[in-house]
Amino acid sequence: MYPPKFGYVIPDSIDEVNEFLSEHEDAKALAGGHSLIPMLKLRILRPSYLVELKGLNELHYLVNEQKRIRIGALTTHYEILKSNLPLLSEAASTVADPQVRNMGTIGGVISHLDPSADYPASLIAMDATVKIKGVKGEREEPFKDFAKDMFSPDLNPGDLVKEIIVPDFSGYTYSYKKLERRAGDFAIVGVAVLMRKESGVIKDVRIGLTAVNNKAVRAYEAEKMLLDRSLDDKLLEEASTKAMEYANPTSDIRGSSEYKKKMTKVMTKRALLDAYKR
Amino acid sequence: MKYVGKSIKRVEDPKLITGKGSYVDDIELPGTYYVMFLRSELPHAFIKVKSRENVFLGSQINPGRDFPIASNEVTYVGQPIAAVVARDRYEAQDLLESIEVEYQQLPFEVDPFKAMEDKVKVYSKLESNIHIKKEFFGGEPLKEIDKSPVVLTGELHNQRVIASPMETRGIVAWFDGNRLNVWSSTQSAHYLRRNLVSFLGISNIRVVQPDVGGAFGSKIITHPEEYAVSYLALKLGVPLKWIATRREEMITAGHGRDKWLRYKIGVNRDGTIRVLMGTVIGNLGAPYADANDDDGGNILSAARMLPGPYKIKHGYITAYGVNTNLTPTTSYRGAGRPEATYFIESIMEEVANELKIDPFEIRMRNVVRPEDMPFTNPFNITYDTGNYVEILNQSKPYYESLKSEATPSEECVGLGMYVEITAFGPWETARVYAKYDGKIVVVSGTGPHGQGEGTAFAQLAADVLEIPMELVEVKWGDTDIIEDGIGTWGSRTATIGGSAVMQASQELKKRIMEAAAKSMEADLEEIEYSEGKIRHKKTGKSIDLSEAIKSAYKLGIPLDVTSVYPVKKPTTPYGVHMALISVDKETGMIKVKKYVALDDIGNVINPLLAEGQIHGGSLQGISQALYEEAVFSDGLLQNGNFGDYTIPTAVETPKFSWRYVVNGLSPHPTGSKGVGEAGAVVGTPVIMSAIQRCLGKKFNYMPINLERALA
Repeated sequence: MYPPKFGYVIPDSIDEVNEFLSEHEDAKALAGGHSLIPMLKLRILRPSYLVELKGLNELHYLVNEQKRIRIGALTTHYEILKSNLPLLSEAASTVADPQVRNMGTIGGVISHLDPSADYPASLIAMDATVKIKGVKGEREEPFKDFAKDMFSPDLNPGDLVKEIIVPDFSGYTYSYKKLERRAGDFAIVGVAVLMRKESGVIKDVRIGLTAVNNKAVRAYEAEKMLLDRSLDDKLLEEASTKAMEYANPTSDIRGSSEYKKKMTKVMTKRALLDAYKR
Repeated sequence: MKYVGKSIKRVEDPKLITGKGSYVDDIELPGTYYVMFLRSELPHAFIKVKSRENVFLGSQINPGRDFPIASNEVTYVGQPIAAVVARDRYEAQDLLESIEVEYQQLPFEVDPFKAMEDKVKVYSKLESNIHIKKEFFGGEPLKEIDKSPVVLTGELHNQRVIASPMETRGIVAWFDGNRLNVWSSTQSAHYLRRNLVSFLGISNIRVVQPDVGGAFGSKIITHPEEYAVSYLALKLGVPLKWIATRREEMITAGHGRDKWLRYKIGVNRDGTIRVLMGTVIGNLGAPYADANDDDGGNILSAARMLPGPYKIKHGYITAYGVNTNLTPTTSYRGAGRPEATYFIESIMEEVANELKIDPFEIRMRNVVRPEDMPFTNPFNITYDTGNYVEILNQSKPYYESLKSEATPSEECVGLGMYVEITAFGPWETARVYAKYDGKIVVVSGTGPHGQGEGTAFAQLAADVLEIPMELVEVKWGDTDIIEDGIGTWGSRTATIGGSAVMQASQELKKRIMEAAAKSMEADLEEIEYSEGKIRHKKTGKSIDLSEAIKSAYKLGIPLDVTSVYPVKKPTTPYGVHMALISVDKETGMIKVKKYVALDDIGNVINPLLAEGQIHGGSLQGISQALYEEAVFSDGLLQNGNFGDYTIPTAVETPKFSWRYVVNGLSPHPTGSKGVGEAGAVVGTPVIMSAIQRCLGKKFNYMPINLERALA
């Protein structure tokens, strides 16, 4: 309940954030604070400083450009769910509860990398790119490489996620299916599907899985089975069985590994069918 | 102007909806220090704690003993072993981290069945882990079981759950040089005072129960921390405050249920039960006397209420209360009666399935008939009044209607019936007095903490005095403002506390009439009291209440009445609850869509508030069937936070509807019976009944979470 002592920094610019974080390796950037502060309260983390990002408006935007959407790291779940982005807005609507969605940010979620988070299933399916700013300048990296392992983003001391870029999937249908024990919970299993159809034939399909591996994965083989085909019961069964093979879940209070594996199939089936019918 | 029986809105609400309540952590005394507790990380160990400044050990607080604060040997994870005192909570937490504890690990036991073998003593000073063993015997059970054409056996577990009130425990204590002042989030100021008097050996103690954010049984007992903080306040002479964190609360308090039944029943082929035999085993957790006394009684309630509302004449039950190295269990809404109801209702369902009898019909064939009332069950509990056949008949249309709504293959209807004992003694107090300006003040010895009895008491007093409710102010929760009291638990407050309020109000009315008669120079027989006016029958001259009160003061007639209402026996409400559920057979997700309750709780003082109690209790009952369970690994609670311990949200809550019938009044002046616990008593088996019907199989454990529904 009671965080340990820490220093607090209110920077004037991103450059100042980069500089301070690189000089103080155990300092932590504070965005929405809905993962960092709970960890502080449990004293799981003991940073020397928190660096407040809230005032940095240059990290707070959502721009719909031609063929890509640029999302500032400080964009909140609420803002994303209101912005009508294919798949990602639906995923945002399932994150936690209204108060959390008012504060939590997409940059925070992917810098934290809880293996049960909602966004990663979509971001991996969307081939999202992460723009990172460090003391030496900016770099871009595919989300799948950025997420190195659970709770392990590809961030060096001084680095800050500046932007998430997703391709424009207008014309795609989509679905995010989250299985949860109770409203507001983290996912037991989350499956994100993006689909492009031409007269009932699947021309592109992307399946992202969350909560069933150390980090989100794409069920590539399942996607391949679906390409250039129309969805029927048999194909649905086969493809979701294939997707299940990508799940390597752990047993915890939310369910056994076997159950979660089975649910990967059920949720994939539902997400595919939902996307296909939309 | 009659208030009793009407859905009067709560007089408690205005201050609470404007943030003007005052809960224990809202109380600020100048110069307050904060207390936190160092807690055992092991289920059983000898401990050595290095003493240092501002750290107070068990050996100082209770020398030579391990309760309330362990001084030498810990017996559960979370048991307090030292208190720290600091300027604020952040510093207190820092100080906690700096304490060195040396543990010498000891063998531990968390399974009550194994603990009963006494191979591992959960505490070295115990003669046996078996804390209670009691047998209940009625009729000729051994003969009957031999004669029964059908005999069924089984085992059921009613799992450990955690009360989880939104406000945790907390206490402020201050010795002002003369006496000890204590504010605590408790279910009774008076009961806490008595315990502190006996622990501290001083009687100059005032206890205040401020606004309390729920309890559900978890704040009846005096907790180790309340003893320790009170002791330290005496010793240090500065105001001290302790507020439990949620994790602390979940690890150390509010654990309830956790009882097993191993049963054998003899049944006729038509489904009538001849005899009920078995063993009830309650896991009491560690040997903390306050808790063991509390939940020990609940184990006996669970055993004695096993026959439920059914006409079972022969029975033989052995009840055990067993110590283990888990958090000590205490009362949780229902306190033994939900376990009994879950056990007998599970058995009724099994008999129905086994003999292919409709679940409604099986209950109809077994319930106590109206001509048998009052009925005494084989374990000597008397069901006083009511008509069980009638309430089943009235429930039937609702049951049929829910069944017709259910989509075949994925939706089912379950039902449960209960009889409950409520309104326990031994007595309760009420003080009613009139201020010179005409204000009527009611003080109750009970300790409402959310149930709304402030409103009910105002209704009762206003009706007796025949005055507008606005003239009545209700208070409670301060040992200085009334002689004494028992408290709020056992669904007793409105009935027993309310009867005391009626008694005191009647006595006050009598005194006011005496004063009026004197001032009108009439005999008492010559005047009559009606609607707050006193009228001379012959002359027609009348004075109103406020004039009569003023003359009482002038005549020296005291208008301050305290009544003690003694209680002989509990009274027994009953009812039938039903639910429509849906099961997602691919994921195991169960949703409760509709919940219908019919209860006979005697005279209903306030239907709005009674219904609120049914909604709240039923949801907790539903939650035990579907969501809640204290999960342990090596004696350590695995889900000690609201992320992992899933109490339901609005999304999981069904649509409730409630009907009440009045076929059995209680013998008390209010005519009422308790309703506070009824929903929690029967809600659980209602859901289990529906689940077992949907999935076509029997479960002998709970909760039926997603995965278990598929198992």
